[in-house]
Amino acid sequence: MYLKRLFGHFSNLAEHAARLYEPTPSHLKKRLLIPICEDISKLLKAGTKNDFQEALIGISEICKKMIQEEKP
Amino acid sequence: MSNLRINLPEELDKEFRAVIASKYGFSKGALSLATQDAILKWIIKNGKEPWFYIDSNKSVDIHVDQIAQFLEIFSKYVNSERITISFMATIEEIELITKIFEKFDVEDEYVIFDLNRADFIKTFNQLSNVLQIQIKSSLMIEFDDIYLIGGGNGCFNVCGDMPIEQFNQVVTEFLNSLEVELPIELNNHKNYQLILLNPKSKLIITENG
Repeated sequence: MYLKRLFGHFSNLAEHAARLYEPTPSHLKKRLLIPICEDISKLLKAGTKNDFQEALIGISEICKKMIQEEKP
Repeated sequence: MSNLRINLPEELDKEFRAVIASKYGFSKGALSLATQDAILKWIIKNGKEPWFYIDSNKSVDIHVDQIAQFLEIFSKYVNSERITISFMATIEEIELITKIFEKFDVEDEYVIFDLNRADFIKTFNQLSNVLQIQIKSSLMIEFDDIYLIGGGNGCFNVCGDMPIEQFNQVVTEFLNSLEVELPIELNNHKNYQLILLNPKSKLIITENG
């Protein structure tokens, strides 16, 4: 479950980064960074080797998608 | 419309106009449009969180009082038979839930409600009243292949493969329910952002690119 949350929260961060009207630093911290930190803590606490690999693959996929969307 | 007169250093004015010309050409109203845009960014950057923000990346920031209304419309269009609400809870909160609800699961520190579509909003409202789940940053709502991940306090991101046309239907109906006039057809705008600075303000529509 924490992997799905991690991907969701990371997507949320990536989408916010693409906004023309970026919200306040406090919004970024409370709504995006803190939830991701919680997910990563869960992963560190209870994740298997496979979970770590899946986490990196999932985050990498989100990054690739965002970079692809940015291309003209 | 208000009229604003300001003093700018000559160099800044020159650079500002050069960027405007490169973006909009020398069209009438371009200076006003760019100035409005700069002021709006400054307002948001300096602490005024929009009352409402939705964009075509399916990123949503809505006022906490409107979350249930948004979810009701969202669930109608996604049309999933089963809906799962999950969130992180303390031991005290789990004890409280046990006294009120019969069916739920606990996995690690997460509480999971697997619901019929008909029970979704009622249960969400109950959990909001009892535990304030609507403000929890661990809130996640799953509808088959699509899920909403929360950052807390009305900040959501739609994950999964939701067609943009379907999302636009949700946004259009949600704006109608708020009695906010939407003067454009969202399907004709690829990279839109919709902003309300307060409940009574006019909808601000901007577009990337």
